[in-house]
Amino acid sequence: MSARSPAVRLRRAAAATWVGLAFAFLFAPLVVVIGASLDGGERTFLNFPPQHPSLHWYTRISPDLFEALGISIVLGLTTAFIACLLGVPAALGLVRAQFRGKAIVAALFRAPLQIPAVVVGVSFLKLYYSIGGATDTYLGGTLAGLVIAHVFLATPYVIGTVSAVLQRFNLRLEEAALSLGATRWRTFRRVTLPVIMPGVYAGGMYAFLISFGDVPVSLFLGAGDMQPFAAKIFHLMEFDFDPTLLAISTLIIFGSLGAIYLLQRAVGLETLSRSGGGN
Amino acid sequence: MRNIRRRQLLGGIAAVSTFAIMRRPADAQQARFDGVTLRVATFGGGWDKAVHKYAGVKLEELGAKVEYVTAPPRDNLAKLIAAKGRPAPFDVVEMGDLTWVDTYEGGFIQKIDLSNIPNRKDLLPTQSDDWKVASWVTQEGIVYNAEKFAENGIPKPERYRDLLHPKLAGKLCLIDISQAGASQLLVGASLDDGGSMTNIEPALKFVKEANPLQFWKVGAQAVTLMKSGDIWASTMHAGFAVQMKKAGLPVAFCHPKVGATKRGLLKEGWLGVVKGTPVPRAAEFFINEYVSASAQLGLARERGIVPVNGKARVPLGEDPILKEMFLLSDADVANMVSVDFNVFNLDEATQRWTRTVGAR
Amino acid sequence: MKARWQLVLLPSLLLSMLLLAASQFAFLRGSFFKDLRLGRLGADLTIENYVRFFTDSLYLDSLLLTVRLSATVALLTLVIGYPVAYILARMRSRWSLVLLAAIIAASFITIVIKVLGLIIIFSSGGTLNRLLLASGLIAKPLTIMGQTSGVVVGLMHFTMGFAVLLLYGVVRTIPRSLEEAAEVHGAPRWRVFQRIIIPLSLPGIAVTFLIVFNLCMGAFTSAALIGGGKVFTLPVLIQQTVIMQTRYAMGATISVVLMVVTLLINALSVVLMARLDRRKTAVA
Repeated sequence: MSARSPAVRLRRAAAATWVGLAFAFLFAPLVVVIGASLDGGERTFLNFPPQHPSLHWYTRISPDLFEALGISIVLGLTTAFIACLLGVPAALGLVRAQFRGKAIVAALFRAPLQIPAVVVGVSFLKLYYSIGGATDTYLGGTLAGLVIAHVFLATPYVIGTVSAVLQRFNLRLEEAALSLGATRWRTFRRVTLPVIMPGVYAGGMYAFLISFGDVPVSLFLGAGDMQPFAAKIFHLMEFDFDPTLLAISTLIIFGSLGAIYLLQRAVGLETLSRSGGGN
Repeated sequence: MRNIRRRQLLGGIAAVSTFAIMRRPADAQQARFDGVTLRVATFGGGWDKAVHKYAGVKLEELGAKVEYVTAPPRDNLAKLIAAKGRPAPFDVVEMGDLTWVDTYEGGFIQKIDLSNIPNRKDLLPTQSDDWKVASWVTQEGIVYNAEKFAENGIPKPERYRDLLHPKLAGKLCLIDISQAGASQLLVGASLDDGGSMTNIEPALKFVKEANPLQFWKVGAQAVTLMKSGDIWASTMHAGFAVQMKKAGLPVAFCHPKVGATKRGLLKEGWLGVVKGTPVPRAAEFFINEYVSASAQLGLARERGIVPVNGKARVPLGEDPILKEMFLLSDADVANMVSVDFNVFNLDEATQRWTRTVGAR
Repeated sequence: MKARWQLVLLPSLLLSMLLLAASQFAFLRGSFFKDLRLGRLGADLTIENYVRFFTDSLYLDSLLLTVRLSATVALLTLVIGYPVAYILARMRSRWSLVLLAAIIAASFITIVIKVLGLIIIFSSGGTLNRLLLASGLIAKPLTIMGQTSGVVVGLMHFTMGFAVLLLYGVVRTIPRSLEEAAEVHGAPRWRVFQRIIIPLSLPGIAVTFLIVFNLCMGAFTSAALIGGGKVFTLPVLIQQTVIMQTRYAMGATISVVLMVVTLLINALSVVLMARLDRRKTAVA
């Protein structure tokens, strides 16, 4: 592999070009957003390249936006956690158990992926009102209400990533542990769980991303002070464009890079992405 | 506290003083709203903040707490539908003109005790009734880049059909059917070309022929395209023209002529009290503050709407840009076209629009 | 032992089905009643809404458009994303992690903001169009707004990050040693791809295709913002029908059709994959 033949070099150049172009495609809008956020000149428009470089808009970001961001982060983490609690056993069952109608059960688990998000929003709102009518507990406009709907959307992703890891898992490891007298729970905790952990992390990350990026569901289930960030931005854009949006988006780009760096230090990105996908 | 309240009622508006004396007994009965929470459904995007600054705080000074449920009016209507037969998700609802009919028809609002809305005396007679009070006006029409029009020898537009100028092909945005304001375009273009509020065929023909670069859903889209030079004209409300002009764009605004005598199109926002609210009196107090001259003036200056309160329109004339973009005199305002949503069928219009403009 | 795994599955299944049934039942049931607007339904069961869907070119065209658009996006995403995922997965430097992190970071930005960026990039007087015009590559400025192709670009921004991450995981599961062994034995590069890498990642590719396809079938924001009010996919129509026209029954009907068509396409692909798999095993 160390021989640098012309063919290898050509191949490397082609690879670099392809990756470069793909990243250019993916990042061009973000670069424009970051650039325009640094323009202190006018209020109403996006200016790129910036004509009056300044950090002006960064000082103007409303505390509300940070509050909404906080809500989104709490919401995303809670959603990811619960989606994992639901998704891991489901994946274990789907991969390990043999029973009639397994394909149907798998399809049912995947169903939330095929319901348009707008419909999920309206139908959960209706559901919450029915529950409210019967029990006097109103979930609309609460964090719990948002979490439930987001868990509904996100669980299929956890099931997908964990299943993918499980399918490659060697059952003999577990059998060996059992034959050595380990209890079932101990076997699960000491043998199975560490192996499927990458899938759990990856699924958790997708769950977080789904929740964090959701607009249509939050539009219906959020209210008053309980408005997640993406929905808040959608509203802001609907009425009036505000350059502080660019500023806070830029902060999120760098913030998520930071979070990912921490994640890498803690569990390793390798782990996160070593999951393949889906069943 | 009562002094503060009285001072606000008086504040700046001379004519109200007699009123304050007249209202004294009522004030004595319900001067405070301690422990009351009022939930107001209104627009997001900072509008809620401005409303709170000019109207909400007045209620909070009397001990209440005001919360805002922010979403586009149609989404708030969906919430009312979902809540049907159960406690309402909010107490006051702000509606676009097209949502008002559905909200009323659906039985989601209750009668307002108009004696609690003294400020309505400064509104046009059509702008309040038992069910609703107008909260603002926007003036729909055409924003255009005067510089580009001059450079390319395109005459200043006077009516909607002037946008069919061949040099404007591909340089045009129209408002999307999902936005409040589309009804004004449809009705205006129809009335101007032999149609009516029930026969919108001429407007659909106009929309198809205009074949705009896009139908904007988010105001920022059209503004961005205007700034980049992708479009030279767009149907929008005059508030956007003010915004762009203040940001240094060479834009002008056309209040389209409609038929022989009418000029310009009105779009109103409406406030209603949600049926079954536990706090109707606080809701009415809030609505009254919302349409007060001081609140309307503040909202106009900050957010580019035209006040419903006639007293607030007067000082706006002193601002050269606002004077240029808005029609402010009572005579001009009375000569504008209002869409009658009991006649104009938005539901049917939406379906026909979709068939007309859908790309394959 | 076997029974136990079913038991493990049971609580999740019950909870998920409860959520699915509770939230969807009332809404979807509505599709079988006459639509009286404002969330009101007629009294009698009827298939009128379905008849309307399948006899009205507005809905049929929209269905075809949605399927075509989703398939195009899924295909393009794979064609561009798979090589990227492969190269990143096989990179030996720390850069691969940095690039991976960048992709995840990009996924955090809401599509609404990305769309605004896209509008500036593709503006007729923008840098890109000026360069392209000057180079003579294009005769008139490129635009994405109000075009089906523009919606494809927007959706790809929505799906690409997901897809690359998923595919990266797929490639990582193929032992590098397999490739190296083949190369040591003198197999040309393209043959290694053809015989080892592609077949081994095929299930993962298929799954990624389906995930991206499903995401697009339900996506609303890109089509709504970039479509410029001209591209009516089914989710856009659903939103319009439910929110603008308050026709919940018709909205539910469109949702049911969208869901059933998506499920059918998924099922069909799974069956195809299984058959392909069986043939492969048979050959081996």
